[in-house]
Amino acid sequence: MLNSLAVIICAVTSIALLVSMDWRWTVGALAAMYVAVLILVSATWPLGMAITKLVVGWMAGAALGLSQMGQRSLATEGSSWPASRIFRLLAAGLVMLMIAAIVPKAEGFLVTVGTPQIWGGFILLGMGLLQLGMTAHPFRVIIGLLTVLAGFEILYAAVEISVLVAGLLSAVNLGLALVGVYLLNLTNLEEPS
Amino acid sequence: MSAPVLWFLAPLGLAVLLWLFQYRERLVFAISLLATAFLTLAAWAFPIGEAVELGPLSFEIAPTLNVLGRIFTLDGNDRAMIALIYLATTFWFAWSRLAKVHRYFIPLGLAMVALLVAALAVEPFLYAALLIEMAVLISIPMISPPGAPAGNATLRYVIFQTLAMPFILFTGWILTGAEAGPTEAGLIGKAGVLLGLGFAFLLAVFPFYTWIPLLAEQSHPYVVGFVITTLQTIVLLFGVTFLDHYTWLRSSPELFSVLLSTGSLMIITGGIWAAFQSHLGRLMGYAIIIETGFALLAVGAAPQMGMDLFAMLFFPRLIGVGVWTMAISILKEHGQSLDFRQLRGSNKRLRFVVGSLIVAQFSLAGLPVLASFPIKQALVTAVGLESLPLALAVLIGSGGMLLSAVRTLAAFLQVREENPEIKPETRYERAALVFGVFFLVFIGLAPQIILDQATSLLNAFSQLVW
Repeated sequence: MLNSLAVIICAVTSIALLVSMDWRWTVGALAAMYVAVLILVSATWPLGMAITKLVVGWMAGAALGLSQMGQRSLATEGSSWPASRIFRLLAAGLVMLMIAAIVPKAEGFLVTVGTPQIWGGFILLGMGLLQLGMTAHPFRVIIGLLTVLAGFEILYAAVEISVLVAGLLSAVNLGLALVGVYLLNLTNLEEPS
Repeated sequence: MSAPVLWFLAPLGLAVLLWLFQYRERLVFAISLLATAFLTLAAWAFPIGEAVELGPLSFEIAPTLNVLGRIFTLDGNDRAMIALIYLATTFWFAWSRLAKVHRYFIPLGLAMVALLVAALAVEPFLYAALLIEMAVLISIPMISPPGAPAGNATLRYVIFQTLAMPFILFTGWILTGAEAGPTEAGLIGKAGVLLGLGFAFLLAVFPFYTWIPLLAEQSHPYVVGFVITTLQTIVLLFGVTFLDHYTWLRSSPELFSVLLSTGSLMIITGGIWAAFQSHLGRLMGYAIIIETGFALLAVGAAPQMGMDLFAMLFFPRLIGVGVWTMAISILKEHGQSLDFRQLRGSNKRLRFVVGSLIVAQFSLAGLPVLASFPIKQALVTAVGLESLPLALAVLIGSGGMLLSAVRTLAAFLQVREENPEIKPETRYERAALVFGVFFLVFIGLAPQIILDQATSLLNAFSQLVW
């Protein structure tokens, strides 16, 4: 039940990340997405370790959100409303259909991974890749990468439970967020000689 | 002391210290040079896992370090690899002041190299993908320093390198299953596809290489040269570790056919695009793509030629790209555009720069008497014995690269008037360029002296014998 709810949250938040034009909504959706990630990962990991996913995800979201303070929206590329959103929603629908076709086959292949985890993982992977394919804005690119990584981590948690890997993956997530903050503020930083 | 502490943790700690002192550029430069030179010498001179006696001092470098239940191992067989990595880093750092790179370059460059060495040391070796990703993230401020918005190339670089990590980690999990029961053909096929995609992203294999020429155009050429060649050196060694580790992988003839085809495809597409470029930075990007193609070709030809050619390619590639990036950095620093159409009489004022640039281009194109020639000639012969069309594709690609070098020469020679506004090179710049060109010619004339040493890189891969 909880796992199914987490899959629905994954779907809703990843679509919100794709269509949202306001960075506040985007960061909010990202935070909610990491709650779903926590639920799905905690099926195979001890809660104490699984909670690192939530903490790291929220820290990444907070860092990205702080870098956007004072900005009104992310509408910098082809944002003619509502056409852009409708297009993104249609693309998201296509990706969802593709995932629905893939998941039954993946169940036979990813035998150690539970069905909700496969759904959640594939939804985030698919929507993250879609996000990456539709943008050249650093904020959205980093959000897309974080989404892809979150999807991967759900699947990978079922097969790998090493503390070192968990730590390194957390470092990569935080590193990506920091790179995002850095890239978003390049013009405000002191130029190195 | 353990080897991972000496060659990974200590440089990483030093990088943090150098970052704190980044405004004292001379100090940072001197310390980094001493440190990397020491690490090179230590890798060359100190045995690992045996007692070392230095006068009254006696110590032993242990090969392993335990971190959070996982082991980092650097043993005696890895010494040549570590020495190569730190030797190359020493030279990149030594020339960095002449190339006028920004102050982030040395601290972040050292941290990146330390993480990449850790990637080669971590066990299970598949976790290397995570450490490589961290090295990539650290390299971002180097290739995209503050002052200008991030270009498309930087974003594509982050995207492709990050996407590689999940593929490789997941492959590792599948391969573990396949290792237990290698008769599972479907599993092996899936692992092969995932692994191929992971390395295609990491090595910027066709068609994922568009970001390399873009990055070489948009960022500081010297920094791009350092980041890409260092990263690709480690990724290639990481890729070979897969072959070394999995018997069923190296006994798969399909894998070698795919590597030969992919390498040839990269060379022919890179060569053709290179022939039409008119920007020296972008051209360098295509040269790097072609070099990656040759590296894949060398691995693909391993069943016929062994892995020696793969190891031998490292030196000519590093020196060639080093001289090229150095030359165009100086060119840029002296107010010259890197675009053929905007050259302003630099052939008269910057003779050493132009000369060494052309030599580096000819060397990477595989012209006789220069460093790459003996290896590439042997490779093309090996590929020709396997498949004539592929050998022809490689020759066409190399021809494209050669044509681009001739076009560069023509572009410089076309401008006849001398431009007094352009300052000639300093004697240090000349010395650095002559030093690089000397090695390109020396390896071409007497390849066995250096290239035989290069094969010691293969000590780390004990199973790779055909």
